[in-house]
Amino acid sequence: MGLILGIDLCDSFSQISVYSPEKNAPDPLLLGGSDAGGMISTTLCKVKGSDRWLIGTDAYQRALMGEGTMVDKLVKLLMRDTSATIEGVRYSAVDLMAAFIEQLIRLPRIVYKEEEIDSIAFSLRVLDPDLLDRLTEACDKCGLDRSHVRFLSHTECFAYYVASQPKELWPNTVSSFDLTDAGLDYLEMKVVRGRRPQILQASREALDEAFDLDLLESPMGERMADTILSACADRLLQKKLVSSVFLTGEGFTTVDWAKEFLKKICNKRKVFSGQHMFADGAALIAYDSTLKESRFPYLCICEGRLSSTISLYALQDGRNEQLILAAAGSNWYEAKASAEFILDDIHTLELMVTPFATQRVETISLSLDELPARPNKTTRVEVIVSFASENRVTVRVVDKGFGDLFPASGTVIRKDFLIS
Amino acid sequence: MSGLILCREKTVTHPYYVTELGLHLYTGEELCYFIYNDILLIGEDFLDERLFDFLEQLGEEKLADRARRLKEQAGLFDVLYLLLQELHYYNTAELFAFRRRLEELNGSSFSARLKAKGDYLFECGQYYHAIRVYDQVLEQDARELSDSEFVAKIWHNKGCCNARLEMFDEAMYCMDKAYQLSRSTALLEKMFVLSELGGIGIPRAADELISGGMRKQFRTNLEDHKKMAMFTGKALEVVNASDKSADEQAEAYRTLLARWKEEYRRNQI
Repeated sequence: MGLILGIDLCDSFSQISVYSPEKNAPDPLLLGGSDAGGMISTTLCKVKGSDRWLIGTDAYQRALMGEGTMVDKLVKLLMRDTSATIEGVRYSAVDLMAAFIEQLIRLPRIVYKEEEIDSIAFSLRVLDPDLLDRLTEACDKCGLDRSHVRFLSHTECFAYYVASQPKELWPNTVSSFDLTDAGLDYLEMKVVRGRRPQILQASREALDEAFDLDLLESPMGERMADTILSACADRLLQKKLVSSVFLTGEGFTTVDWAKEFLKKICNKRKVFSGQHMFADGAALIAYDSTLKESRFPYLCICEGRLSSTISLYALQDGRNEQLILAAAGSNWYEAKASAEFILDDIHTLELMVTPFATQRVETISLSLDELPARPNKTTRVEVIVSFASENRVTVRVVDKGFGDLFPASGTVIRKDFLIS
Repeated sequence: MSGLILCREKTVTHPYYVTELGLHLYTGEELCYFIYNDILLIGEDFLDERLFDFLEQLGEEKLADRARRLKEQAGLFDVLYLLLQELHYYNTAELFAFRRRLEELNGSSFSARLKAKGDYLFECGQYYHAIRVYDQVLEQDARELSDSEFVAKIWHNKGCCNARLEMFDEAMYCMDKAYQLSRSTALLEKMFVLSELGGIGIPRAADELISGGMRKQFRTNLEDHKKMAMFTGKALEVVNASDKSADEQAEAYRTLLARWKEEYRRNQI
């Protein structure tokens, strides 16, 4: 069996978890055996005069010694699609990310003495469509099979990580604070019961109270940070039945500075602090995607997942049936769907949008007047539904003609919609 | 009704070829459309292994088996109805109308059905095919051809096909045969037009029946038709193409020529 990897890809640090089928759990990759060894700086260094790339602390060291040129903030570079010139050669952000990923996945390959990768899931703070396209390109350059690669939000990885924990940890709401250089995120997950399948509803809020981690380098700054977090805990956890709280991110490498905050969150709750929550969640999902049947019998509604079902009515074998084009809970980046239909005396295409929580149906309409005039039932169209985010859907109707009888015109009708 | 019919996902690697129309059918929906709209083109030979193979390629193995069995037990029309019913392209009302048409066709004689097929092929511009079908009618035994008006129509229609193919000698021969059976003045005029367009003579017996006044009237009518022709059909298509901008004109002519060539090629089958 090949490697099953979960990678938390962030601007400052990245982390890897390798799913162990023997332990039936993800195993964090800790270089040098320490917890800090699991935090790999998202930094790339090209060794002078050679084609060798280094990542993490090695990259820093070489650059400090003047033996290489360093590039950091690789995720931001990729988001902006900028480039960097090293030794007179221009490297695109995709090239740099590809070099970084290649070096990153070399680590588990060396440790586990296994070259094959069966499944790999990247956990990202934000799922931006352009970022995902470029990341896909970078993965292609690394020779990763597209069908084995998945991109997930931190929120989704958090939800799956929690769902993999003993149930007594999550009878009610579960919260998490993620403190990094990039910001302070509050994540929350709860189970919506009374529905089949049960719904895991998770959300992320980037808090305005975020502070620079340099603040933690002085006792006064520590006290200030503690006060800020305490206020956040008051605001966010108040009046909520929270079973557990998970603290993660490099800001929580130690929690000695956050005494007041801990006092507040530990009140009748279980509190955990650790660094591999998102990578572990990604590894769990990566493993789950290799199975014929999911081990998680839940519908996950969160960042990166559709919260509404998109469907239409069509005659199938003579019966009027509801046809689901994209189901609530699907990953929007992978949820592209298409089907072909014959138009029967119809001038407007109507799609139904059903939010998972309300069952209140909204309709989105698309005029078909631009299609060529033909006798009834002699226009075949392909309806393609794709997404640019959880709530931005694009519907395209492509004229496919009707065989040799009425050749396709190539007309494409496209409309973008915002859905709830 | 929803207004949408979900298409079958299976696509065929070997489409079904309709010889009479010179086109391929790729899907079950196209097959239904062909059966429903071109029923006159369909004869017993339609139910052959080519059709059953096509159904199997569409993933309709069971339907192909049922159609094979029904072919042995019942007639062509029952099999066609079964196909339309099971492929779910037409609704109940449309199937009912189709059943009525089948019953009408069942009530008509074999020659009448053949004539209707020839007429349909003529409308589709398949003149060679139409001529072959009209010849089939004329080869029927005397009992089928006892109605002289009917036979005159067959000769007339065959003549029209020949005229469309600019085979004026053959067209004149057919029109003369039709005239001998029906004695219609309209046919004399058609023979006059053929002689003018093809530069050929009208058979003596018919020619002698055209008076000076009739000849003058026929010529006037022909001139009017020629003037009208400048604003209809292919001439109009050329005018429309020439109205386009200089950049688009060449492309429009190319497209027009390609279509005419395609039509001509189909007609030669």
